[in-house]
Amino acid sequence: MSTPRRWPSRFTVRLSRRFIQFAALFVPRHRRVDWQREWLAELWQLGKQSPSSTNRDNRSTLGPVAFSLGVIAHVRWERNRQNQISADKTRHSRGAATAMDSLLKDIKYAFRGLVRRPGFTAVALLTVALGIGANTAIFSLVNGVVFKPLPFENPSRLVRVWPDQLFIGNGLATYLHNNNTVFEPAAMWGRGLFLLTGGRDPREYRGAYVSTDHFDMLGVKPLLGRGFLPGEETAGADRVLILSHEVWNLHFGADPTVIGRDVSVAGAPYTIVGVLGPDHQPIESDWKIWAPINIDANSWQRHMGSNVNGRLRPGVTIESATNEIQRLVLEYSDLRGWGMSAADAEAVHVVTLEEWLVGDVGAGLLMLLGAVGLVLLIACANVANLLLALGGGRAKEVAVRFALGAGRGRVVRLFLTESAMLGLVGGLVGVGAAAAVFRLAVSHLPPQIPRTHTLALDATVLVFGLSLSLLASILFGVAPALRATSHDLTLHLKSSGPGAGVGRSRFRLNRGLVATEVALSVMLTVAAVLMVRSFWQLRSVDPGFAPEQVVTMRARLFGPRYRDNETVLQYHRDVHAALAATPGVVDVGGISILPMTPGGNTTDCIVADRLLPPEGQEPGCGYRVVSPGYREAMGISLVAGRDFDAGDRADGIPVVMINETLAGAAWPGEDPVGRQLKLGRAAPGLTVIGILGDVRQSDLKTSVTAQVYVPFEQAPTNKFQYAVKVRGDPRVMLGRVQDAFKSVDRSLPLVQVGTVSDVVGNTMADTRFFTAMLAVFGVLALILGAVGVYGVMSYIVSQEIRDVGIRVALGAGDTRVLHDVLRRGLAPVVVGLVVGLGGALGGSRIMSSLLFEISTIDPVTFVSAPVLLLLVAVVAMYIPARRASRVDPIQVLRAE
Amino acid sequence: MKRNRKLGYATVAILSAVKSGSRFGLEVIESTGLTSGTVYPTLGRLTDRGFLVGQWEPETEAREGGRPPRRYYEITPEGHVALAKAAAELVSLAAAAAEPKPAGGGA
Repeated sequence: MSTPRRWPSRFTVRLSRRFIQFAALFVPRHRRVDWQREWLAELWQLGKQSPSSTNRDNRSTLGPVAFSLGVIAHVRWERNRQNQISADKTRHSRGAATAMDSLLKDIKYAFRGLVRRPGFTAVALLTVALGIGANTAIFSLVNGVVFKPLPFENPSRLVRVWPDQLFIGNGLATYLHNNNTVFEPAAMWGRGLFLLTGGRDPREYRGAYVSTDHFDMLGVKPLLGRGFLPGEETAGADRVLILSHEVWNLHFGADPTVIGRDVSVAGAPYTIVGVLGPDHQPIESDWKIWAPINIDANSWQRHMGSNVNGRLRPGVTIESATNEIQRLVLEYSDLRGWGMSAADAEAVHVVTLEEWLVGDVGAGLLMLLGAVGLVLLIACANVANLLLALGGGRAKEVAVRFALGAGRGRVVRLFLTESAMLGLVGGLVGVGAAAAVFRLAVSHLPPQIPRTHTLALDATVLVFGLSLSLLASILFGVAPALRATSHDLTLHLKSSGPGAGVGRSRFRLNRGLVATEVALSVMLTVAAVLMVRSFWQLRSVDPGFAPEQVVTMRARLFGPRYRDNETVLQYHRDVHAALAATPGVVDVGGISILPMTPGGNTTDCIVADRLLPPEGQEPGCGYRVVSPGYREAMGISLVAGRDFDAGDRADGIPVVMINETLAGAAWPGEDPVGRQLKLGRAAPGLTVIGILGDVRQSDLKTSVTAQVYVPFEQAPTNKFQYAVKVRGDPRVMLGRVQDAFKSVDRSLPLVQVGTVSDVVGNTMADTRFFTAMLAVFGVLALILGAVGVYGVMSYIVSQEIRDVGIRVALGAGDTRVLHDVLRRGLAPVVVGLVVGLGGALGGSRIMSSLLFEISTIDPVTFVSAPVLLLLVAVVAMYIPARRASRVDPIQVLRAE
Repeated sequence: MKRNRKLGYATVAILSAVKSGSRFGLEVIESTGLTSGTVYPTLGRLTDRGFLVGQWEPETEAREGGRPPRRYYEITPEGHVALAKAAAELVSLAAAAAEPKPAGGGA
């Protein structure tokens, strides 16, 4: 029996295999291979089992067929399963598609609605664009200058010693550098001027002499070449230079082979060892060249003002570092017998590099950011008002939507889509406008604002602008959307008049917005008026000289020709003569350091015929070398005595002039002319020949200090800045004055070329910038506020025109109606004024560092700003109020 | 795909077979006596519900045994729980069925 039982078995197995393979064709493709593999493996197993191995006799031969018939059920199951999965997927995607569809529909509808109301849309878009654009622009500035960390390693630990009024010479700086335990590493620097005479035209750059660990301290690696090496600061070492990216570009045409090249700095040989990257932020923004500081006692640099900076050691705070530095200053003073008091030393502080670089400008920028934020809030209130008015007009549309079965959420979403579109489109326009004027605006920023070269409309700024747009659209969109959908449905379907059946309470939101707008506007106006008044105050400061019509420049004397005093003197005599002969030139003179330009020398000032003051307590005064003619050119008054003249030469009697402040301090109640002054304990006496009017030497804000002037012929100096009084347009005369210089020595570079008015203007540039910006924002706030008040009053009057008509019909006169409308309109304005003044009182305190001789609670400002706003509001309300008072009752009632 | 459905008898039987050591389809068929048309779809469904995991026998092992690789099934912790619950229900059902009189006689 065994043979007949096996034969069908082999055959049936083969048959079953074919069947399974055929059935597999109906299995979903991604499952097919596994499915077939499993079945065939099982079939194989079944075919291998000897009949005796199974306890089911009947199945041993029929097994494979019966077994393989199971694939039918299995295929069906697999197909069902697949269908189920696809159905689930479709259901999910259909859900997403529906949501997408309805959003698209909302957007389409919102777009159509906005296009249908072009007037409203234009006003709303413009308002939003203004708010967002201004905010984006100011944010990009604040972000780049204040928020972005300095491009150094761990920048918050970088500090510098801020000497305040104290002059830190190289000796003290070296002592602080070597003996402190709070900085690791500590570095030193002093300002320098580098006249590059190799390469293209000779050009002077500002830069710094720094200790060799300067760049290591900052964690800055040069783009090309290397940093300074230890030992390069000692005398006799090779002189080396590191260039800024800008100088490398300007002077060397970005030549990559510049490393190792020898250049001449004012005639002395230097080797370029490094070029910094374009992002490097110097400690003082005008540094472009760095060389190692030479702290050798015999170096000329020993007289240089120096500074110490460093990286705080772990665990050291600003306070503990300040304490340590003050202690060392006292210690050094004792060592040198200076007799400095603890109070003197307390002037010295340790400040972070961030604080030092950004300083007051940071406060100003943050103030602008706050101001521009207020502008946006006012803009939002305005748009919200517009939307509210619009919502009132759309009551019927809303009612119909409700009636057709839309839920409130659905209608609110539609309204919000509209405001989001307004916000985003307005925002895009605003950001686009900001981007369009960005480069131009940056180039007009005042020089006091640091880091402007790294400003950019980057991703952070764009994200900020767009997020702000969305936030704004929520701010101005939500309340109107909720308001518009909260009306009683049936009332609107039944009534015909605009806003009929709704009481006065419905204007509560409108009035609230007006109050808010007025409050914000008052805050901004107060800030703007404070700044304008402060700037006015600053401009009215008498600098002690007349900067108009004065041009200024300086020749940088270098080279073997100008080694001795006589040649230098002769050069200047020639320049004086050449200038005096130039048509259009009125007066010519020069000074070692022009007022309101950086730098300044001080000297001891001792009255000769009195007891010497104790050592170290000699009074000090500013020291400037001037030539005859300088006083006239600058229009400085001569209070007493005479001016320098051609007779005050090296071989004449040594003379000085002093300023009024010094005269009053040294000879109170006496006549100083003819008295003797010594510029050092052992120095010879100099005869005071005249008293000059006080001049603001550093800027308009800094008060006048004692000052001596010595004649140029008796104290020749290499650095000598000309002041040339001209007739006619000073910008035209600049060229002629330059020609006169060139006629004497064509090879010398002319530096610090410009007008004295610009020099004075530059010292006020930051104040002017902040004032102008705040004034712009203040005016914007006024305009937006006026538009807001006007809009709301117009709306309210139009909604209440029927009531007004009835009252007129009942005998109310024109004036009565006018007064009534004005009175009701003024209530929220007054509330806003009071609240806004309160806010301004708190807010103006943060402006104190920006104000000059104006109190933060300046009564003039706090009265004039709200009065101004009140006037604007009354004017804005008057138009709709007058319209109401001229209502023709018959017409109104007939329209009903 | 998981649905909270009561397990039918065949499902319980198959789950129980896998638990007691039947590792692949044919073994399950042999130990339960169910047809292949019931067993394979049920194995798939139980795998979908997470009560079983199926994985292919390593090639090397199959080659040593001189056969094509089998698909082995194992019961998961969830499968254990579901089986215990279903078994308890079957037991109480069986107990109820074994009662001599219909319920309600005590009323």
